[in-house]
Amino acid sequence: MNTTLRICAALFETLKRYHLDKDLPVEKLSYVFGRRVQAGDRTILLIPNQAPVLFAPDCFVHQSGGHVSLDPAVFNAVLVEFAASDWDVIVNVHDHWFSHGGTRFSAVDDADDVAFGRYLRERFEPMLAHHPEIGAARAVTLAALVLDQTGLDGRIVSAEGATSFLPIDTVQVIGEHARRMVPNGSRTEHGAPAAPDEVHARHADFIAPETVRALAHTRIALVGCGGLGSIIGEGLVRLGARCLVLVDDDRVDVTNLNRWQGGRMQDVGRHKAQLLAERLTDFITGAEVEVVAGSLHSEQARLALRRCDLLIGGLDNDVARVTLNRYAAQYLVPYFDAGVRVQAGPCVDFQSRYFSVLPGTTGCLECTRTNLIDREAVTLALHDPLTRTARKAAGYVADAPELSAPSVYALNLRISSLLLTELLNYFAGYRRTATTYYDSWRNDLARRFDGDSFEDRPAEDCPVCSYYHGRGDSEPLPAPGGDAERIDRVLAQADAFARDNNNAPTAPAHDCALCATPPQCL
Amino acid sequence: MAKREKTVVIDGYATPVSESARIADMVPVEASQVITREGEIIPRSRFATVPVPEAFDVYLSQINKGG
Repeated sequence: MNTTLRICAALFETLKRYHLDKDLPVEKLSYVFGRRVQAGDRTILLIPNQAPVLFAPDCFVHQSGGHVSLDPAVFNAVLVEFAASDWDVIVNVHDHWFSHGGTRFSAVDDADDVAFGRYLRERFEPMLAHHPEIGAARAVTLAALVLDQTGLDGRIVSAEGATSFLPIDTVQVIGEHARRMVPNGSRTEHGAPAAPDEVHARHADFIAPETVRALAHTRIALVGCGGLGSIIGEGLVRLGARCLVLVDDDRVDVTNLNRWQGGRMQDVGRHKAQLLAERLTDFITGAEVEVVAGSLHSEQARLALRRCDLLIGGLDNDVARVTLNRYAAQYLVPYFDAGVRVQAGPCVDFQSRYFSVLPGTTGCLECTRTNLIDREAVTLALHDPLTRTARKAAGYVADAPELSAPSVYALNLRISSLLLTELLNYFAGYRRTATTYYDSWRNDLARRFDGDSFEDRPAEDCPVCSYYHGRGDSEPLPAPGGDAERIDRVLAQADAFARDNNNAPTAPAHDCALCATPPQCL
Repeated sequence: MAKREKTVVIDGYATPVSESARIADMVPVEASQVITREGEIIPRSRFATVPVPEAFDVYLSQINKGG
C-alpha cells in the first residue's frame, strides 16, 4: 500500500510563498482541490495547477503565530463552490512556519480533520446524493498538508474510521526537475540516501546518492521496446532505475536484429517486452520489471500506466505519442520521447528528435510551437469507424500503403543516449530541462531548446493542457477507432428515441446535399 | 511578586516576554494584515457573495489548525 500526492510545481510554490513567508510570522490556512486515482494498492492524489483558495486575513476569526481559525461563513462558501465543481479531493493546507523540519500534525489538527471528515461522510456526501442540483453525487477524499520551512507532513483522513489517518508516503512536485519529498509521517523511505553501490561507483562523482535514490523509487513506463526502447531500457537500469513497466505488443522479427539491442537469432518470434524484461533483470539484481505484452490501448496497459510516475516513449507512431501526451496531462506524469528518421535517396540524412512534456510547466504535443506530429494522420486514426468511413466517402482520406521506415542502430544509439542524458538532468538538475532537441546529420544542425532559449509554456487555449490537465480517470484516453462503446450507446439512444416517438429512422433523401454522393474532387 | 521574564529575539530585536510565553503569544494578530504579496488572496467580502443553495447542509464548526 502506498499513497502519493502529485502536485504541480507552480501551485506548490504559490502555497509555499503564502504559507512560509518569514516576514509574516502567523499560521495560515488554504485549500486546494484535486482528483483521486486508485491504481491497485496505490492511491494517487492529483493536484493540478489551479487558483488555490488563499484567504485574506479578514477571513479568519483568529490568526496568530501558533493558531488559525477560519470563519464558518467563509468556509461554507468554499464548500458550496467545491460541491458544484467536479473535484473529488479537498486538501486543507496549513503551516508551522516556525519549524525548520520534522513538523507533524498537532492534536488540534487531528480533532479538526476528524470532525470535518465525519461531516463529509455523514452529511455532505448524502446531501449530494439527494440534491444533485447542489453538485454531482460522489465520494469525497479529505487530505491535509502541513508545511514547514524545509519539509512537510501529509495524510488522508480515512473513510473507514473516524480517527484513522492514512499517511501520504510521497509528495511528487511536478515541474522542470524531479522533486520528490518524503513527508515526516511517511510509512516508508526515511533515512539517509543509500551509499552508492559498486555498480554505480563510477557515477558517484556527479550523480548524487539522492538522485540515484529518486530514480530507483520512480516507477517508469517504457512504451515501445523496439530499436529505441531496447537501448533506452538498458540505459535506464544502468543509470539506477529499478522499477520499470515495459509495454509493447510486437514480437522480434528477423529484420529487427540490425538494431534490437542484444537481439539474437533465437529470439525471433518472442515478445519484445518480455525479452527486454529478461535481459534487464539478468544483469542488474533487484530490478522490478512488469511486462505488458499487449497494446498501449489495452486495459492491461492502462492499469499498468496508472501506477507509473514517468513515461518514456520509444515509439514509431504518432497515435501512441498522442495517447501518452494525454496520459501525461491527465495523470500529471512527465513524458520523455525520442524519434528518428532516415532520409533515404541520393542525399541520405540521419535525423533525430527528442521532446519532453512536463505537465503544468511546458507545452504538450498539442500546443508546443514545434511541429512534432502528423496531426492529420492522428486525427484520422482516432476517428470512430463511422466518421472515418464518411470522411473517406467524402474524399477527405486517401489510403496510403504502409511503408517500413528505414532504421539504423547507430542513429537509435545516438538519440537514446541523448534522451537518457536529458532524463538524468531532469533528476539531477544540472541545468534547465530540454523541451526539444533536433539534429540533422546532413545539414550539420543540432539544436537543444530549454526554457532559456525557447520558452514553451502550456498554452491557455490548449485542450490537453487546460481541460484534461489533472483529470485522472474522469476522462477516457484517446483510442484508435474511437470509443466504440460510446458510439454504440449513442446509436442505441437514437434508436430508442425514434421508437419512443413512433418515428422510425428515415432513409437518406435523394435531394439531400449531405446524403447524396459526394463530389470526387473537393 | 514580580513576574518572571525571559528575553527572546524577534526580528533581530531583544524582546522581554513572560517566562511562560508561547510563540502564539508573541505574535500580534495585526501581523497578519499584510498577507497580500503573491497569488490571489481572497477577501471575506468575495465569499459573502456566494449564494448558499437551498438544502445545503452547512458546516457549523470552525476550522481550527494549531501548531
